[in-house]
Amino acid sequence: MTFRLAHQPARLSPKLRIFFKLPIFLTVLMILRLGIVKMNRQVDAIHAQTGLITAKNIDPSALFYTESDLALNAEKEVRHRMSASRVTGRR
Amino acid sequence: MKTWSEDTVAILLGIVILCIAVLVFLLMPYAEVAQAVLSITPGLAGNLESWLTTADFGSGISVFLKTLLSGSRPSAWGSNPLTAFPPNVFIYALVLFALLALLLGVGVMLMKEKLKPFVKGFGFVFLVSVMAYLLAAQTEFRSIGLGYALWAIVLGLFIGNAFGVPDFIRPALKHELFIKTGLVLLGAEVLFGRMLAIGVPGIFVAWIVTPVVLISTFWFGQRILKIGSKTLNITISAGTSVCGVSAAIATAAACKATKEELTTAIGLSMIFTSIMMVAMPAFINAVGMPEILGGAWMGGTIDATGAVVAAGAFLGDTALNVAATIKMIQNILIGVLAFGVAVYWTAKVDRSAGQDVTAIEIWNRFPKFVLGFIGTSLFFSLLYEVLNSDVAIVLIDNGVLDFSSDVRTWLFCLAFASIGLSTNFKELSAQFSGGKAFILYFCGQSLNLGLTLLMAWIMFYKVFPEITNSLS
Repeated sequence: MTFRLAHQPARLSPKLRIFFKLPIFLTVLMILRLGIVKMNRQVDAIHAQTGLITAKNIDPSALFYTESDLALNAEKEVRHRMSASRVTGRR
Repeated sequence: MKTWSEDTVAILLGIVILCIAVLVFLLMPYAEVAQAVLSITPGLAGNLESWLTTADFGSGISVFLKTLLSGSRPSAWGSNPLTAFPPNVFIYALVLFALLALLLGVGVMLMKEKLKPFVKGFGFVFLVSVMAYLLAAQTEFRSIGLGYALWAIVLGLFIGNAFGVPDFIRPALKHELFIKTGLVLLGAEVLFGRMLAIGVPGIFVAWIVTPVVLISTFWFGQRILKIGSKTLNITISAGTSVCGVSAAIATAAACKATKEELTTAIGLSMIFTSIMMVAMPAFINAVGMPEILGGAWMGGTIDATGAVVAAGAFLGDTALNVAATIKMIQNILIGVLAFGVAVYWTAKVDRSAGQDVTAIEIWNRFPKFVLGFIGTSLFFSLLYEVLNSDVAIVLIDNGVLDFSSDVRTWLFCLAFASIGLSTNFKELSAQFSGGKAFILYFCGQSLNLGLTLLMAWIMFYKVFPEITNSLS
């Protein structure tokens, strides 16, 4: 026999719990987003970084160099600078 | 008809996609572009790339394929997700779904499984992938590097554990097939000629430090932390030392790690990447470290290429160029890593104690998709060197590889969604028990930070200062 205290809330039925899971998930996403916005406002380093990412249209989640135009251009720029330096004999 | 294994199907599908890419983006426009360059603008060489990016030389089919891949993803949005769906996105998404279902469906049939149940379930997995791309396109999430890989796993985990996975979806949860096909495509992007982009210092920072960190971290995990699973240990070690998610995927597939182990490695890599992307440039600025040294340090240590670019851009153009180039050289190590891990696992780890392994047994156990991965890598590396013309190089970079990398990211997204959907949250949380996985990543990354900084300083400032001068 189980007893339930008067102030203890009744447990939700499994079907009802499923019904609440989606709003909870969406709320967590909203909180995460608001947290990032707040961090952005309060931490200078993050604010500067995210501003730069937006301005230069960088995708920080790119996994491989072929997914980032800036990474591909960087290699070309490095090769160009090194060969230009060889031509001019810069030491 | 003989039943095909998942590995051989992955190789076949990868080759088919690459053949389409070569035909449409290299062979068809090649003559047209070369002719245009020769006849119209003889002095164009210096400006060739900017001309090619704006010129209208693409055939109808190449334009269609590129628009299809980019147009089927939701675009950037802030607070209203409905703005992420341009008018044609649903049509493009439907066409892409049909093409992927057809292609992968053929693979499934070769594996002697039924097409109809696969296509039914695949629709749901595809939908989860589109939702993952939607969350990855959200401005704030995107700005700190929370990409499609993370969202596909998170969404899959949420759906699978909160509501359960209906039976009709299960035939489409083929994460290994998606990952292996994606890895065969990734091979084409691993171009060995790019290793020498920044000369000897780049090789030392990216190709000497990285294996040392990999082996040390693996050893630390086995001997000091005594991690129970060798496959979890090597997957986290590879993610830490090489280049995060992509290295973890390649290693996990090569050593046959479980989906929970791969998810753990990816989660750790993404959390640390987001932190390091902000913390490292702030620290470098605070201590007044030179741009080139800072760039080389970040390129060798921050996991994801996109985060390296973002961190490098924070310090300046020179740091960005050096950081991204070092990371690119490190990316190329993936081919050697996958091959090495597959051989080591087949010959040493998977055999019983004291048992001699014959060459035939090694061949039977060897994950064959790795051969497809290495094969496409060698083929495209040779093609890149043999063609050796600006036109061909631009057509490969902006055409073939642009297309194949877009298809690959879709395949990886589908794989992560499948992994999330089929993973039990309790089994996943067991990977984190005792915090050993976290400690392993933290210690491995600390060693990586120290060794990479030391090597970058020695190479760029003591041994090859002339290269540093030429870059600044």
